[in-house]
Amino acid sequence: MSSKILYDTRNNKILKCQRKPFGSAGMPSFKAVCRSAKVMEDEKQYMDTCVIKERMSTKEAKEKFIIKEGEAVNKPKLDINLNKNNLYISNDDKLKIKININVEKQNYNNVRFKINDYEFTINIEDTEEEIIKIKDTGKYTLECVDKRFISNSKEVFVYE
Amino acid sequence: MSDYYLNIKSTDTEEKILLEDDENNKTVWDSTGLEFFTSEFPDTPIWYNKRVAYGVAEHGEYVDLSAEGNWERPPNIHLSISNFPVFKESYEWNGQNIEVNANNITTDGFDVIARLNALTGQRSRDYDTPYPQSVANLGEEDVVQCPETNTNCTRVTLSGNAYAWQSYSDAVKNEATVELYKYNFNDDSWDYQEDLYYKYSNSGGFDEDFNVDSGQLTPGKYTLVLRSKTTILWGDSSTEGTTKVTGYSSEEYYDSETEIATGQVNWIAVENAE
Repeated sequence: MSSKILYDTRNNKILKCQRKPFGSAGMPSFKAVCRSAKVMEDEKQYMDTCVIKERMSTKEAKEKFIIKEGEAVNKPKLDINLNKNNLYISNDDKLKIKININVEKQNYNNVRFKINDYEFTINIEDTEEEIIKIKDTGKYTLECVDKRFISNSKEVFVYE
Repeated sequence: MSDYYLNIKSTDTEEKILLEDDENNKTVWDSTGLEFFTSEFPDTPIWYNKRVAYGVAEHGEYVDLSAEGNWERPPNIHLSISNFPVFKESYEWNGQNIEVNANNITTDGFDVIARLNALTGQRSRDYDTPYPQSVANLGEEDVVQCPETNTNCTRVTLSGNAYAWQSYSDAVKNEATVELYKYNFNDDSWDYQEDLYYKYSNSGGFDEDFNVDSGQLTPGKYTLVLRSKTTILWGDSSTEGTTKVTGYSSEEYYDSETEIATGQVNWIAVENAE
């Protein structure tokens, strides 16, 4: 095992991921990772740790993992698929966004997406496909900005 | 083939085992550790270190040597940049320096400092046209926010103009204010601090240039708000009035040694021989 993750048991939020040194030092202790994460003494009772086999920074761990039943597991993967990569306003084309996730859709409502600077939500628990009409020409990037998922982004070009 | 001589010294002041060959290469083993000396450099020891550890650490991390280490002497620590921001454009008017350090070194571990700091700086801003300007006609109140400062601002000044006009003297009250606000990161909101400038007239209006100065502030993100207000006191449909507050330029002063980014370092800890 190569890194130790410190998380808050009240909300399963990852606070710190610390790598095990090489050589004459072992995996950092609970006390050490609490010190690294600047956890106050009276808060330590709510903290716990788990270990992972990868070596990674705190930022990388927060992007990749969620804590489930005391273990770091990969975040669910969300795939964005589009009906078209090029749309034409003159044809009244609309953008159809199809969402696939590799876990049960239950409890995943109000998932946040962004298309260029515009943010919106999709209730993927109930919805398999979302339809958007774009009125201005240009290049648009659609991405999921919800930190609960690891996701791809897609580009679409809109013409007259 | 060399001849080797084993010499065991035990006196009141020292105990050592000395293994030497006929070319004056030697190995010395005493309470400080194991040293090797070559005939070419008879006074420069090549140490055998009992404990060496190395890895990668982030800013603020406590590197723990106590687990499985049992270090007997505080280590020598050497750090080098691993993944590090070396310049932030949003602080380009400040000098910036990289601080990489190991603090509080004991046999149990040490704290890592790996950050980019902004040094003392000052930013002069001439606002683009159209200038920030609040305008209030009769019965109106208008607010306009000036560009906000960066997060470690300790003083801000503003040069501008306050203008008021009224059709009849004593019929209209014109008020021009410049207010200071500080950003509240917890609430994502702006907290009012104080009025830096206030001018009013019930008669005749005014046209006045001003220079306001916040004085020394606790480091933070600030903005100046221009407020104009024109209130009818009496009159009829022919009564008119206007108040304008305009900002032209500002100076922002920034504190030194403020952390603006953090990074990662490679570290190696070598146990001292003595």
